[in-house]
Amino acid sequence: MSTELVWLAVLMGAATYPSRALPLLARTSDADPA
Amino acid sequence: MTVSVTSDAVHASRRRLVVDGLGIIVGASGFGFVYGLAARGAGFSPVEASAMSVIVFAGAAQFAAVGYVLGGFSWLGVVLLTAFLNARHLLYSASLAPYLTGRPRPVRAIMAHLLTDEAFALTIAHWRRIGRADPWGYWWAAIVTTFIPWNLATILGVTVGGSIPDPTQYGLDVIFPAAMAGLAVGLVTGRRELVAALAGAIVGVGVGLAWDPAAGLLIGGLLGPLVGMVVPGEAAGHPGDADGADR
Repeated sequence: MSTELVWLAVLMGAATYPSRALPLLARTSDADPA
Repeated sequence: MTVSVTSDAVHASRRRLVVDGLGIIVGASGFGFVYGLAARGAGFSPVEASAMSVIVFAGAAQFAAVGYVLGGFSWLGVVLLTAFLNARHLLYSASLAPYLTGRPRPVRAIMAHLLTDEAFALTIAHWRRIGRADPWGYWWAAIVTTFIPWNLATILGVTVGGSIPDPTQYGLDVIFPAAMAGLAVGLVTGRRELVAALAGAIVGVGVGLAWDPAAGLLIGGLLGPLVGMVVPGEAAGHPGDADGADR
């Protein structure tokens, strides 16, 4: 069974993750707006 | 601003989220099944198709990748195009972020991986109803209504889908967009939201037809909210909006 495209999935995951994560991770806990 | 909600209100909102999520479960199952079929048709093995659904976990990007692989695109091209297609998640993530300050970063990092159109739509509606974050709601929306059905359906589609002669005749590919459209209607709570939704849809469809569906998604997703922002609001914003968050 071929597994070559698993690496493509990993690369795609790495490329799409930042758009999901950056705003969520950028906020620090002490930056909670009052 | 401090928003306090009763336990009853939270439970009522959770029940509504669960009910709203039923349509997403059906949609994710149908769409995931069609994805599995498409991947199988493009020569993906079950392991490869499932790896996409677990690691990438983005329906539009996965469908695009199937087409790109079938078309012989370079991997670099596939990766760049799917990153472009998924850029709309920046808006979702930015909308959820104010609710989640104070939550541990590892938790937010896991939440980010599970962020999809459906998880966002269900979650933001729930959190706005109760005026604060409720991680239970997010996990339910992201995992129970989307991740699990999507992945199970992918496996089913890529393994047993070959026995179905022409699955598109059953309209399975329409279920998912229809469920999302239903959720979007529930998020239109005022004039600004209505204008943003209409502008985004018109621009997105127009650009998609005239140029490229991926570009249509991104440009419509960016311009719609901007157009909505110039429309005068009718009252104070949602308690969970970024400038009013105090969780």
